[in-house]
Amino acid sequence: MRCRHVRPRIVAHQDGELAPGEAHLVSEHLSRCSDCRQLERRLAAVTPQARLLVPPDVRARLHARVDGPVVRSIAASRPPERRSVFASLWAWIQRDAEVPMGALLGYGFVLAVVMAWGLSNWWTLGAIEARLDAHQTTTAGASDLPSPIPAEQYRPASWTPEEDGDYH
Amino acid sequence: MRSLRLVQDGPLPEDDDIKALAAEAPEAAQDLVVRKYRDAIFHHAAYILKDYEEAIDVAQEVFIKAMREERFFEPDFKMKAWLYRVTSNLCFNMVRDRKRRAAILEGMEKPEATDPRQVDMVYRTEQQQSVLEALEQLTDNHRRILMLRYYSDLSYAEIAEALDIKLGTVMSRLSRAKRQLVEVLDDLRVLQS
Repeated sequence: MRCRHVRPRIVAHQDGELAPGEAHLVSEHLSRCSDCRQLERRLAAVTPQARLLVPPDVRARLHARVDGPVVRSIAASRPPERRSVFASLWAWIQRDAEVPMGALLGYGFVLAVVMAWGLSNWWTLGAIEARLDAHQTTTAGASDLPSPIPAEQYRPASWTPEEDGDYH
Repeated sequence: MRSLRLVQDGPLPEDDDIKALAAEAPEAAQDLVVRKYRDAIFHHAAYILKDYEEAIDVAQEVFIKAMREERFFEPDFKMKAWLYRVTSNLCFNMVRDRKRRAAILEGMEKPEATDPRQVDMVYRTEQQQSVLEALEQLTDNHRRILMLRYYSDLSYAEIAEALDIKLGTVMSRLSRAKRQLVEVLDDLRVLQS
């Protein structure tokens, strides 16, 4: 095991939380590597070890206020919690729907993309229709809009003046 | 100075047995949960808040919420993890509100002398007092996970349930938290020298 693999595991090794095989590999590395051993000593030295002193009167107050019947009566006297529809739905999704969060986010992303694409197409189509309507309205009696090209004047892109014989 | 001892009135059953009892006698099950976790939740809150009275308030609120939680005695519900998670959240909300009030009061008159019933901690060594001071300079996530492990004595699996994270994340976060603690202590020593 290399140092970069061992160092993130030193704290877990000290806490006895590594699997036996992994712990053995870490111990073996620490026996050979002085740098990692030094890191282990520094990490061990900062392990918080303070303990709380609770005066008897505080403990008596704790037991009086945090007692089954007392807490139950306070809980019963409170009005029921109100949750918004969204909060209730979210709680149901997390608890009862049994849908993995990753799948839910993926479905949501795909749905959002499809809806955005559909909305953009709908907007574009609506804009085109509005412009066509405006153009037809104005060509019916408008004097300031340019008239469409008459059919006899239409020239395809491949047209050359020699084709009509009009070129001088 | 006396060291703390947890006193229990009798052998307390496992969580699964309490859940089984809840089906027949819910009030008795609730009383057992309170007796079993009251001191641990209070200690956890006191470590974060550094105030006995606020810790009692939080402990009471946690068990009120537990009694109003419909799922509390369901077979798959992780009671211990849930209690610690709610405790941590309530405590950190109080600490945040306390800082906001202090920021507002900073420009006003000086407050009265601090409450003399602040939490007393016993330290094995002088370095441990430095460790406690350094803890205050860590990020909330790092401080929270260190307290759960070393003050509340939760296992890595219990921490994972309490914080709703993966076991690997507990391992890496604890490693980073301790490394940050080392760096902060080194900085404090440099400042003091």
